[in-house]
Amino acid sequence: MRRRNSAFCKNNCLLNVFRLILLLLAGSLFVSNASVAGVLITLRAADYMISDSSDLPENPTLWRHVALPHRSARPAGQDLTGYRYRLTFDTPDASQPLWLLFPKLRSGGTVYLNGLMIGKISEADLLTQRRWFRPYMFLAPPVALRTVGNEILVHFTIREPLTSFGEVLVGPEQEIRSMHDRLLLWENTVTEVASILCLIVGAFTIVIWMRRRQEALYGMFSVCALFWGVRTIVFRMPEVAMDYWVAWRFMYYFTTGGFIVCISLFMLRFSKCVKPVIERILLAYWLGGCAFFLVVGVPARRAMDAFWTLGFLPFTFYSVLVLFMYARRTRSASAVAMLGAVAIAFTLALHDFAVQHGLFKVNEFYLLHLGIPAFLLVMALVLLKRFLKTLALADSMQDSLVAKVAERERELLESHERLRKLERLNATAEERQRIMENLHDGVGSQLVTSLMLVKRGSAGQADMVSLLQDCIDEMRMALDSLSIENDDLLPVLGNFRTRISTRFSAIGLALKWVNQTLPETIQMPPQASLQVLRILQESLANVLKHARAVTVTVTVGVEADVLVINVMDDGVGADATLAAVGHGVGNMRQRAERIGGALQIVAGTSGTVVKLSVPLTIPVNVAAAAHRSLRASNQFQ
Amino acid sequence: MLISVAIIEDQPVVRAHFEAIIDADPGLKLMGSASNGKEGRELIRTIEADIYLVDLGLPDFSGLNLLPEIVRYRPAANAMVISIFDDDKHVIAAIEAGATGYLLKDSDNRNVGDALRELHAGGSPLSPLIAKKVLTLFRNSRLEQDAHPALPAVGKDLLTERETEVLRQLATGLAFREIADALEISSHTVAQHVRNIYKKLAVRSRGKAVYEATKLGLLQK
Repeated sequence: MRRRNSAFCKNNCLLNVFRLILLLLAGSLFVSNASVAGVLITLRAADYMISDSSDLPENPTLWRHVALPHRSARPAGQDLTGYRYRLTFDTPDASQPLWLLFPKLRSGGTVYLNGLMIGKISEADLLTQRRWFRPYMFLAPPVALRTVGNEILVHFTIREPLTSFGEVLVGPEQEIRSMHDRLLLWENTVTEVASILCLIVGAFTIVIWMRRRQEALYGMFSVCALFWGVRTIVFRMPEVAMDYWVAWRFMYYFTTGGFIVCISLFMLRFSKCVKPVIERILLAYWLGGCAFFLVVGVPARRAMDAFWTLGFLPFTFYSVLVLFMYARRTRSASAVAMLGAVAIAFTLALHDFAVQHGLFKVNEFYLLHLGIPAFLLVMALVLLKRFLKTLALADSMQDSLVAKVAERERELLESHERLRKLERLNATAEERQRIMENLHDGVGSQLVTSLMLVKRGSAGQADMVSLLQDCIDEMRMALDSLSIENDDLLPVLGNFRTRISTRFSAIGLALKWVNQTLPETIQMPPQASLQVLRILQESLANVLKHARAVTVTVTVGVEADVLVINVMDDGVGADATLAAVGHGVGNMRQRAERIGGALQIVAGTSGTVVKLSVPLTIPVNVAAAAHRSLRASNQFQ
Repeated sequence: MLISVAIIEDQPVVRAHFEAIIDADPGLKLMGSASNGKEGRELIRTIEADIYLVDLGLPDFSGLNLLPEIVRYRPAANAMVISIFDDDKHVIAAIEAGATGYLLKDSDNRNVGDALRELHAGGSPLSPLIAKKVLTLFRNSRLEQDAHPALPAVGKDLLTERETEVLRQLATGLAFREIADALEISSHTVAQHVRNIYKKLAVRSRGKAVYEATKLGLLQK
């Protein structure tokens, strides 16, 4: 979408440029078609003579008949030369005021109608150079008019190498004024606006270039625009004091040459043709010419105008050729548009050259200063296109960056998901491992022991019942503690208590179970709960088997985050008991250590106290170590 | 007064074991036995007993399906589930289906008789682990109730403060008697509370079933 928009804009802009160029051409055509207006009389012929005297010389043989516009070389040897031009016209009605229009009165001068002075525009003198780049109109009052043989006499002094006198138009005020205004607009206003525009655009672009030095084209374009703006303003200065004339002319050569150099370099660089040698020669030619003029001064002018200016042509041709090849190769719209603009500017430049040198009898209207801004406009559009392309590139880079970030995010999420899945799998595997270990460690070993006893035949019926009961107890403990939802030790202990109470009361032994200060829940991992149950089971079994006690008291309490379970009996005392159950106590101690707890056996003469203490906030590494040691110990069984 | 008992159990050894215990107990009277679900259904309809002992793992269908029939045809009777282990999942499912007690297969002979008598007297067993589970169930019910005020039946049958307290004490491993002492009530009252908890579990499950059915469009409101 963005691409299409920019393409559309570009085409539209180029179209407008061509329209503008057409308009300019139409304007110049309009000027040359002025004579078709019926009510206007265009005077296309005159007599002229060279005369420095302020009085009109009486010698009529000096007059020469010429067609207008008239350009001829000024005789050499003099600083200033006086000219007189004489034109005649008839009017059907001498009682009506008429107006005279001089589309160009380049050198100024005094205008007479039938001997009556009707206008005076200041002309060149010893101290000042004066040139007027605008039309002038003068009233021909009825008092001075006659029906037949009205004579217009213009007297002026020039310093220019060529005299320049154009056609004169006669007619009613309305038509003359409207044509005058149009000529003023094109010759003067538009040109001034164009040069100011060049300066503004040049200044603007140079700021951009200073921020982006790598874009050499921007820099060249801005220098081109600035040179052209200054050149036009300098060239069209109506009055130049002779003291500064060399400086003024130098500025003219410097800016004109600079513009040509820059535009040639621009074309070369645009066409991606980098030729440092050519560039250096071009720069040297330009600056050398300017320096030469500065040194030699006024006498160098003819050489500068005639030869130095032409010397740029090979470079310009070469640049245009390179551009042409580039346009043909790439067929890019900007290259073609630029080529078109170059062609037009070139045509205008040729036209101006012809005008300047009085060739082909063309009117002295300079068009290049109108065409060049158009060319600069094309250049600006080309640069704009580059700029937009850069922006689009930045945009797309940002887009792709955003897309990349999103993708990374998704990947991260996925890998996170994978990790969690892996963790779940791992947890499941660990759970399975734990159950396997417990089967192996508990019911498994219990059943194997029972089987051995039965096989040996040493087990009576009561022993068998007891053995099987042990198996079932072991299984119950595992089920109670390993149930996934049970991480609360209290109900597990409660179930154990209920079961064991029945057993104790069946054999007539009193079991006192005391819950001391207890929290609502005792959070404990299932495998730790199971170890607690096994220790309890083992110590109670020891009491049943060996202690010959009457009462067993179990107290459960939590003090300072440590679970303390005491099993006290009033039996025969530890010495005897320990001797009988040495191995069992070792087992119980190991189990306590695995879950980060401790087992103490306090033996008295009557009765034994087995004290299990388990810290409830088991550090993670201890828990892990407990798990590892649990596994390791199982491998030896 | 004799307590009449009927047994629905497919394993001959286990069935014979329980039959022998009942026969040997002068306070108990065996009314009949069934060895599968179909026979069990017939037994419930034809033979009146104070207690029906029901095994959950019958060959043709789960004993759970028989429990509602006992509630329906013998509302005065107690349904007691026979189970190998008192793991909370099976027991709670049984209570929800209408059982008022459960019995472990490896119980001592004397304990079986005691358990039957206790049940007949209105006392239902509730182990600490199951008490804990029931607490969780009702806590979740309350949360659900708060989230969906439209939930029927469940809401009005939430546990009372006292029932919750009893459950909480049971979950810490205390016996009925100890709870009675702690709460300064009689053991009988504690048993009554437990029986109520049984009923509420059953009602809750039915209410939940109705709610789920309504949600699915199976029932008109």
